Amino acid sequence: MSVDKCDHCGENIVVRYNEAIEGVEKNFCCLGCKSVYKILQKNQLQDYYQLRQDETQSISLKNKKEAKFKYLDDPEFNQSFVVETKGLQEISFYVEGVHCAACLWILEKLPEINSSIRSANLNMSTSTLTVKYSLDGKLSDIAYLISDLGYYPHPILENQDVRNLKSKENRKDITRIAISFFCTGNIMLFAFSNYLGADQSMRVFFDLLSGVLFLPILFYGAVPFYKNSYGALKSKQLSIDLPIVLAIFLGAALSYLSLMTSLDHIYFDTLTTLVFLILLSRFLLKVSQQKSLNQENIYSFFSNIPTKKIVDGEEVDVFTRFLKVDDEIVVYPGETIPLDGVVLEGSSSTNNSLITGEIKAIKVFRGSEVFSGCINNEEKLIIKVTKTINDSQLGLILKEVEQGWQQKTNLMKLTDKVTKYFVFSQLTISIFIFIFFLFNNDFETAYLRALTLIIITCPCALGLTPPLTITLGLSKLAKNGILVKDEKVLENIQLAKNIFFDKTGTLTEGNFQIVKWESHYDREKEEELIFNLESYSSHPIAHSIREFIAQKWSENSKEISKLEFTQAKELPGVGLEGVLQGQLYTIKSVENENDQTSFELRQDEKILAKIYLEDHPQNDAREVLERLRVDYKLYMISGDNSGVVKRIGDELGFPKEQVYSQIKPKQKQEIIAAHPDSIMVGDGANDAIAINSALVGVAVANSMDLSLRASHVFFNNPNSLVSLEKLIIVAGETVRIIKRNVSFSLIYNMVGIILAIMGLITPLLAAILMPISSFTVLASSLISTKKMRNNV
Amino acid sequence: MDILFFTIPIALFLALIFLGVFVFSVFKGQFEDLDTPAYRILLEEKNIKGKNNDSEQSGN
Repeated sequence: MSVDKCDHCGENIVVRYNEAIEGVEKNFCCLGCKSVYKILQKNQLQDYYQLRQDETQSISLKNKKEAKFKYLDDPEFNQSFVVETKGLQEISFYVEGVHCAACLWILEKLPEINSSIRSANLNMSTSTLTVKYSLDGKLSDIAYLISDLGYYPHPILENQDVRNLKSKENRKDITRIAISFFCTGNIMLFAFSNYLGADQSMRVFFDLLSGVLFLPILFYGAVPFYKNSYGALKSKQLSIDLPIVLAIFLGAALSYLSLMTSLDHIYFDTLTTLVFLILLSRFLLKVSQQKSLNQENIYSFFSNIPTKKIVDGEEVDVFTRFLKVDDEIVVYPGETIPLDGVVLEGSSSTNNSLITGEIKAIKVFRGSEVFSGCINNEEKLIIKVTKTINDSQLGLILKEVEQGWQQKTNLMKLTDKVTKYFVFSQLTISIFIFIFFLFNNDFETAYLRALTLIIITCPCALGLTPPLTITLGLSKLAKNGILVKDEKVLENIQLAKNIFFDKTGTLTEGNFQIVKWESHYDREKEEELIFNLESYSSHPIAHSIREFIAQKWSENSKEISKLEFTQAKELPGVGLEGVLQGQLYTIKSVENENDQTSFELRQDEKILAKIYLEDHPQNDAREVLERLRVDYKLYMISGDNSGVVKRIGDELGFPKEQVYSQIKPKQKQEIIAAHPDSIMVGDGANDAIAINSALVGVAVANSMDLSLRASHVFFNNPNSLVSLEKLIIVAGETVRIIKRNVSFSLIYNMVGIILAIMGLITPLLAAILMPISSFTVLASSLISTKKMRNNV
Repeated sequence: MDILFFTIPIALFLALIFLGVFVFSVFKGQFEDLDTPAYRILLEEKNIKGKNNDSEQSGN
């Protein structure tokens, strides 16, 4: 029996949503795919299917998030997100799911689908879609259209001013570099001819031209250095740019002076090279930093959830960020309470596990205080807001995360400090040398040696290495599907001695095989119930069970009917429940004697079915764990019953005392807290607090939203153990490269100082050696991280 | 070699023109997105005439 494939996404069909379109029967796997197909069909955009060659990329809409975009029409939202220019409104979205030319094509065809959209422009490197639409167009319509096509738009808060400023700044930088390069290149040509022995008249000509070409450098190219040093001096700091400025000024004075007299000391070539190279390396650094993870975007995802506010007795979707104290909001069962407040109406219970770690539901009723981040379990609640998003519990946690991003890593702080002292001692020594030689020799010697010293000891390499290496390390990790939210992780990993693993989905494949099905009712009905109820869970077990059932049904070429459960919700660490036709169905994990994971499906209290599952360790888990054991003490920590945990633990070589089973979320956190130097790797809602309190918290692929928020690192690819190993290797390498390069550049400068004092090198040689040192360090960072890439 | 006194300024002037063109293209934003145009050129521009005015609102 062949399995039909969906005409939109190409996936195997489990539940049929077929429809005849223009007289031809088309196969669809879900409503989403069907609606995309129809939109394309209606607008004659079927070329999309020809353009979409990359069949490996899944465009299935089965797991599409339920989109709520009504809040986009809130005037307050419009005010801060939408820019009005020339009678058109403009907004930018970060679009999830963009991956190929077909995406580009279809997204830029938006104006042909919705006439209020005037232009749509996609930037694939940043996945940013800029949409211009007429004043009567509704933003929510546009967002729904984008999401109907299978993408998920996140409005970007970054307003026009900020965006313009950023691109303007980049344009200015490029122009500055281009002009500096123009001058440098030409001056170099002239300098070369002079060194090769141009005759006297030519020499004068070339030197004069160099002098003219140096002016743009002096008055335009080097301006950022002046600004930085002045700014630093004003706040009584020594900037790394100060020696560069001194070198430029002293060098320029000397060169112009000798241009008018003897032509003995002309250093235009050295100075321009200095300026050009430093400008260039700083720009490269900036670009690579901008390219790597845009952390602000991650933050904006978290607070993009709309909330229902009561306005004149009606529920209106608004952007959570704009809620004010005393606003009244509605929170339905299963939803997260967005802001701290007091219950006005309704009684329910809340799950506070994200905030307190306590898994037990807390009863709430009229007058009770509720906190943001808690999940409403039972009934609709009307809440009066008492704190805005920034002061709410969840806001405070998010703020902490945000601050973590802004903080400099200790290594960076250390190099900052070293650099400052370095500049200070460099200047002191130079002045001292100048005075010394002024009294012992003559003015010329003193001036030249001091200049040489300043040029050769420019600590640029020192300042560039740490940020560059860290950025490269992070972007390398990102390419491997490892997203680091907090760069301190790279250092913290060095301090870790223990690694705690959650079992399911982390150590094991999370791909459960059903080994036994005890039927107490009707097997097919049971399967339908479980298939539909499990769709409300994101736990790996739920996924596996659904796949198992789907496969079985499609083999028998039958279709699973859709059952709409109400009040479905996950019971972290236990199972899930939902109501269908007035009856409460629960799927709960139960203990059994055979060391297997097992579940019961209950209708109210009646057991309908019992399912036994087995999970297998990840493919190369044993080998990877063996390698990790060399440096770390490994623990397994699981909420599962002890038999299963013991079986997997034995299989993977965990000693008995390093295996914890039947651990509740709060206990997990306590265990982690007792081992402060630990990495915690996990996925479920029950791992969130433990992840949050670990030195390095890692959430693996398909994690629950809660753990994602709590974690420092997120793996975006299924093989979590290999990813962890990569993370450890890259972090170690990155820190090593920084240390190596910083010490290299310190030694290099020390040697330079000695040579300059002894008068063994001229300013020219110094100016050649200085950029070489910077470049060595840059190259060393680039090559070493590149090498890591090949190994990892 | 006196011709150099004449040719070098001319060469410089030519180079200046190219520098100007480069700066112009930078400020036109041609270097902002280096990935997308590479794809965009592969897409055939097929105008769907008569559709632009009466296209229905499909965003629901």
